[in-house]
Amino acid sequence: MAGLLEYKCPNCGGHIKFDTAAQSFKCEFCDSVFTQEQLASQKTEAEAKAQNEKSPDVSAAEAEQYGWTTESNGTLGEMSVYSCQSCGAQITTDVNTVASKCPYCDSPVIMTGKVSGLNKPNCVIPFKLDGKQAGNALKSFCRKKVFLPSKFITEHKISEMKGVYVPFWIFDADVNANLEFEATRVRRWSDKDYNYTETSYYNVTRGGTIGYAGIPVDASKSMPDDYMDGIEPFDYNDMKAFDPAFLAGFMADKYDVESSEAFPRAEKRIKNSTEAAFARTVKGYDSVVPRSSFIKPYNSTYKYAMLPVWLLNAAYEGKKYLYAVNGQTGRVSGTLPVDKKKIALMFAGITAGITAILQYFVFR
Amino acid sequence: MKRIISLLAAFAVVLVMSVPAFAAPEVTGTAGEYENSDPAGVDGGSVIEFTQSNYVVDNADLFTDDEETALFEKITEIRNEHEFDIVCLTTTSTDGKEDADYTDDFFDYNGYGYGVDRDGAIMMLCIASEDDRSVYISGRGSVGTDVFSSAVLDFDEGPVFKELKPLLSAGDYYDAEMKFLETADERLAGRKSAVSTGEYAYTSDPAGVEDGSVIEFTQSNYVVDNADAFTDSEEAALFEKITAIRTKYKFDVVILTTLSMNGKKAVDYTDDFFDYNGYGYGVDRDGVILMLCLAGGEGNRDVHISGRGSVGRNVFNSKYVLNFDNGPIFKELKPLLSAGRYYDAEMKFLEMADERLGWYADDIANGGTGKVPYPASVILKRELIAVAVAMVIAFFVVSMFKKTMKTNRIRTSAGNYEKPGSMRVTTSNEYFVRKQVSRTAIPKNESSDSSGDHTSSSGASHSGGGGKF
Repeated sequence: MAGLLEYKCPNCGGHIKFDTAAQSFKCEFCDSVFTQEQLASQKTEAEAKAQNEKSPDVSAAEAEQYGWTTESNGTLGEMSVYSCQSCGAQITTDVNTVASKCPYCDSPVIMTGKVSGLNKPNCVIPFKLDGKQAGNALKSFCRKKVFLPSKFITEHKISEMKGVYVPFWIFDADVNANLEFEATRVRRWSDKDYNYTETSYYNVTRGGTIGYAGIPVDASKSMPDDYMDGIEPFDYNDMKAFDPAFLAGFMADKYDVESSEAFPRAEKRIKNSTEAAFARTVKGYDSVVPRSSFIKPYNSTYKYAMLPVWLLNAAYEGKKYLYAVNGQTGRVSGTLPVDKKKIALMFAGITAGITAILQYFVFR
Repeated sequence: MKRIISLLAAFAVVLVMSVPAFAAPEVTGTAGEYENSDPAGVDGGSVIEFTQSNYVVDNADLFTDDEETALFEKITEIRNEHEFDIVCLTTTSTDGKEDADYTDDFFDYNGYGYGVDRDGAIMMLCIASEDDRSVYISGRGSVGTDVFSSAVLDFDEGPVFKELKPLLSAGDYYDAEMKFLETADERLAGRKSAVSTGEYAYTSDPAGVEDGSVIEFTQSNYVVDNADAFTDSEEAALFEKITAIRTKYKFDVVILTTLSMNGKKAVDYTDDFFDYNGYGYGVDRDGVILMLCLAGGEGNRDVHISGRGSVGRNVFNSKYVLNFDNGPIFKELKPLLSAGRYYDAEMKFLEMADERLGWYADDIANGGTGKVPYPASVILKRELIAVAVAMVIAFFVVSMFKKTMKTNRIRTSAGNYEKPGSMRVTTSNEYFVRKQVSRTAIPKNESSDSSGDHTSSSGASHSGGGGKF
């Protein structure tokens, strides 16, 4: 059931967006504040209306019919087309886009069809940081970075800043673990002719259960996983039941990685942590080496969540840099450019300093 | 009638014979002012004539003639045996001088003292009255001041007066003098044997004197060839070199060969030999000793070099100069010693000592510290290692900072998502599987002994280096 939702202020007709500072819904023009419940009525109206409208999604066959090319932004060749309800412009978006803004009149739109039924997210962490704060987060990130070229802070240009709700699968799992280790104890002694080393080998097993909760796995193919991992962790205390209203004013995509595809990533992380946790219980040996591990999750559940991320595209000296800022905590992930001269300087400086200290031992 | 004449004749003869005794001039301290205030003794004797009346001066008339004769007999014995003067002096007055001055002046200004060094001792008894009696003993020369050191002559606790005091208090003056002479004999004898076998009678560490060593500077003392490794002419040649070094640098070099180290370790044997025999020039006791123990077959002989005093330990420092594995001295000596060319090795050692002492003297003259510099190759190697270590550390630090420049990375653990308290260990087993023993041989060629800077049993600081050859 496709539907387009644009929350309109009942007082002035302006666009309502989620306000990060107030953590509630605010009209862009007259600053009136609304609660989630108040907006809910607008949503049901829109959904009812949607029953009668054609889906904005265009299939490959239709696209051919209209003479459009089917290549699109890395998706399956499907795009969405919709008309902006404020200005009437025809907008084409990625088939996964759930929330967006009209590039002409900046009015926010939510494709409720993409977030209903089976596709409805379970929960969402609303944005806590606005764009300005995200920019400041990046500036703080730059502080105290020793090898950052000094001009970067003043000369980098943020060409694009997007507040995006990134789809995530959040996994909880209890795990059965059975691990086997090889452990050694070493004894050394000498007589006047030889140095002896006696190594005793032990087979150590550990079995048990351990539980994990809240492991996030990014569910969007277009979002780079390393950036998403980099902004972890999110504070799930702020997590709220999903309501499309939260998306107002931000971009959002629906998932294009199935939960079954995403789970192996979580499983890998679980396996590593479980091995480490049980290995820590093996004490009193000189060395402990894992030999085999059998880790099976049971009781695993998952949630489909929308987590807030600011994406900043920056340019500096002709190169492009992407930064992701956790829209809730402000944590920044990304790669800063490195001033090679500063590296060389520190390397030379430390080498010289330590060599100077060691002179005492050279001339003893 | 014939009997009376023969009796008279006998009496006359006796009278005539005793005239010299009565006519002997009384030798007193002040009256006997010699022409030169301090005449040097000659090699092989004293300036003053060696007679009983000169060496047993009984101005207080404490002894009988027989006693005087007996005393002089003992004095003669000691003189022949040890080349050492002993004077017995009694008086009723010290002429207003302090006992020490009176006694010393008597010895000095009358030309007593054997040899150039004027070795000797004098015991003075002043019996002014029953209540006013004093005794004073004084030693002179390196042997005299060693055998009769202040510690030995300590009036309250010293060994000599411990014996003498009861006798003197009781008025047994002759016994006291005899005891004195016997003690002197013993001590001189103990000293001599100490030099040749290496065990000194004294357990304490006699301090060196300002100018020279405590031990007499003779060839037999400084080239001690107990293992008979050198011919007489070789020994003389070595001593010549040692003398040259001593004159030039005021530094003692001792050469010692032996067939037994008396069960001690090479370093201890060498150090003790040097310390307890009184080697070492000046108060600081600067010197070096090269010890060869030639007992044992090839590969089992010992060499050890030990330095003492600030000059000795500096010029012959343990870390580098005396380093047995790669120091300059043993580098030259080892091939010569292994080939059995002991004389050549010793000569090489003396040449190197001369050279190095020269460098030291030059460095000091130019205001330097005298520390032996390491050769360029050693310094270069150490600098390269230092730079390499510094670069490794710098690399780690730089890497650490570089890591902070990139925070987008895949996470591989779920540590912070662990439900706290959810971990339950339900099975836990540990089985012993097997045991394995391996061994590595300790390199047997521990050719260098553990020397380096150390403190010897006498409490002195030595530098040292040596090993087997």
